[in-house]
Amino acid sequence: MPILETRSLSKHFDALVAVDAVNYSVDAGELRSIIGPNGAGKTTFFNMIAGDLLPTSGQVLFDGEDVSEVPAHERSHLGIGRTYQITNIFPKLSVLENIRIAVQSRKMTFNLWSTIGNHKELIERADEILERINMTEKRGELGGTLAHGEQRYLEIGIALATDPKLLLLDEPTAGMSPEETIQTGEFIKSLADPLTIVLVEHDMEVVLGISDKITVLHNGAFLAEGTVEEVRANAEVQRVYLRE
Amino acid sequence: MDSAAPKNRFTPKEFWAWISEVFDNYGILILAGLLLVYPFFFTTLNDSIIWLEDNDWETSAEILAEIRGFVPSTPLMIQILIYTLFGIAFNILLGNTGMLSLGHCAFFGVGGYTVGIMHAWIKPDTYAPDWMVSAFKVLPLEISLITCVIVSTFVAWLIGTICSSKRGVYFAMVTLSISMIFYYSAQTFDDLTGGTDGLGGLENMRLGSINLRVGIMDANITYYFVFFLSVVFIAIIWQILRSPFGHVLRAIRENEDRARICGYNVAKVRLMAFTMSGAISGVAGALAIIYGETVPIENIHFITSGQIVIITLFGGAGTFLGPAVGSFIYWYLRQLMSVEFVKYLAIFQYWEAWVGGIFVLIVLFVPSGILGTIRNMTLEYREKKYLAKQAAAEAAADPE
Ligand SMILES: Nc1ncnc2c1ncn2[C@@H]1O[C@H](COP(=O)(O)OP(=O)(O)O)[C@@H](O)[C@H]1O
Ligand SMILES: [Mg+2]
Repeated sequence: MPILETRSLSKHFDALVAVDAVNYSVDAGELRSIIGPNGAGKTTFFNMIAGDLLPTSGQVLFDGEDVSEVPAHERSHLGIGRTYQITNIFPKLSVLENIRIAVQSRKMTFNLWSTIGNHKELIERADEILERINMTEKRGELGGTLAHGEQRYLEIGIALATDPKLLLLDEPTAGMSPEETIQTGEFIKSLADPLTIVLVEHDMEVVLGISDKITVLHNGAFLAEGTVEEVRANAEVQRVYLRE
Repeated sequence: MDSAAPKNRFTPKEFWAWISEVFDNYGILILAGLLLVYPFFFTTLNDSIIWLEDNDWETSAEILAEIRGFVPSTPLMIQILIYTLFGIAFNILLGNTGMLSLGHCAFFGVGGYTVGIMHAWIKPDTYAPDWMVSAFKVLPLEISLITCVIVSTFVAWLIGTICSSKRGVYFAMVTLSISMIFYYSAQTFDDLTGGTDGLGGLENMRLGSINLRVGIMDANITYYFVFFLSVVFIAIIWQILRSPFGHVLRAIRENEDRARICGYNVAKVRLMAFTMSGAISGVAGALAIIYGETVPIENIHFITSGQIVIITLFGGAGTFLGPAVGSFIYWYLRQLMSVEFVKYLAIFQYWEAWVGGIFVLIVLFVPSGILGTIRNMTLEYREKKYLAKQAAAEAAADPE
């Protein structure tokens, strides 16, 4: 059974069809990529999976359950984690606090009578995550003062801290230098399996080496799906996308 | 250790750092200690003036009386305490969750009216049940206060369900409009609330459990009563804000969308914060009517919401004790201008304009408020010191 499935999922913004009846299916442990030019509808597609937007029609199934109408915060608890194309962190909280608040979301919200100091396990878990994103030394710095690339990693860390089964990464390498981009690609590869990852990228080169399967989105609809070679060989893809 | 560079422990900067360190760690305790002895201080001041007069030290008595004009009286301190509690409760929303409510007069007023109406209507010859009359003679304050907590919690929850899903300006406008409904209701149902004249004729207010009369008869007793309850509720708020829940509030203030996608039920958390803030504001409103033994309709008027915004921003919405500082400055300035300064310059009778002007200056030049600015300066100083220390350590480790 696929961990994530969409059935003729559509999103209309008035007359604009941003996502057009998309059928998509991801198995647990896969690392998948969705590529497509700007405005193809990649972010909108993610927004409907994570619950930031409700679909105009169609369904999102997660772990076999229809979550199309489930609020975003509940989908997070079901196991959907995400990052955004435009960095979305807590800029005025420290790096540690950024991660810790995400860890805390798994354990407690309306806990009024203890203190964070009573919950060492939160900090321990946060430190594990910090190690994983290689930011232990920065734990005391404010999120907003980090370099751009570090903020992108911090956001992945926040998503990881919520223990997702499915991680949606929206252009994680946006704005990174070529070396950073290569590093990040490897880092993402290291996260996959048992974690399932769907990666959205504007640029095909980033996803080349790491993806199990690539899907091409164009004007809100899927154009092609397959291994890197298959997609490359696809004439239509070449016409609308690769020749750009 | 390094004998070549003896440490000068008392440079002014060290001294200020020490002061702020102490204030950071023990500020609340020091403040509570000072407030605990305040009525003794003020009573002693009064007594000394009387003593000096009795012993024919006319000039000294006059000078001391002149000074007393500049010392906040115990009733004024009662007011300051109440608005401190009100401001700290209000700041659960503004400073911690990032919600600017312009309707907090509704809770302050509802709290006051609940206690006021109960004491005005439940009297031995009217609605007071026999057991109450035989046990306490009158309606005990404990019962009206507990009722007040229940009523204001319910009202806050009700208003919260309507408006806590709104954001920014919409939230401010909706809270404002709802509070207007409360004001006009208080005006319309004047049989119950006394309307624009205010609600008087409250049966004497007594703590039934210790048979203690509080109210206008004795400022000192009322002060301690208000002090005790304020401390209890401020302590509750303090705990809430340091709890894991408090951290969620600040995460929502910083980035609501991120908090939601982290799995927090933002709507529910905001509603909880709103309800707590409103409920405790209601308690402050109840305390506010006890010394005067009347419920002025101004308590439920928008002007009260404006006051609490000013007080909180004066002191610093980003700090826990900011509203305490703001409340002191606001009421003290108001008193000084309208009673003392006006003796010398008539223009000070328009104290509202002066306070408003100062408010504008603070918003323009020290937007983090007084305590917030001091806090920032301290942090900056500590950071510099820390960096210098680190640089020194690095230089020591690497002699090249
Ligand atoms: N909230 C919105 N309201 C209106 N139009 C939107 C909104 N979000 C996206 N769009 C439009 O939908 C289309 C797809 O956008 P998006 O999903 O961001 O594409 P991509 O992420 O592939 O660049 C674009 O034409 C964009 O302008
Ligand atoms: Mg996009």
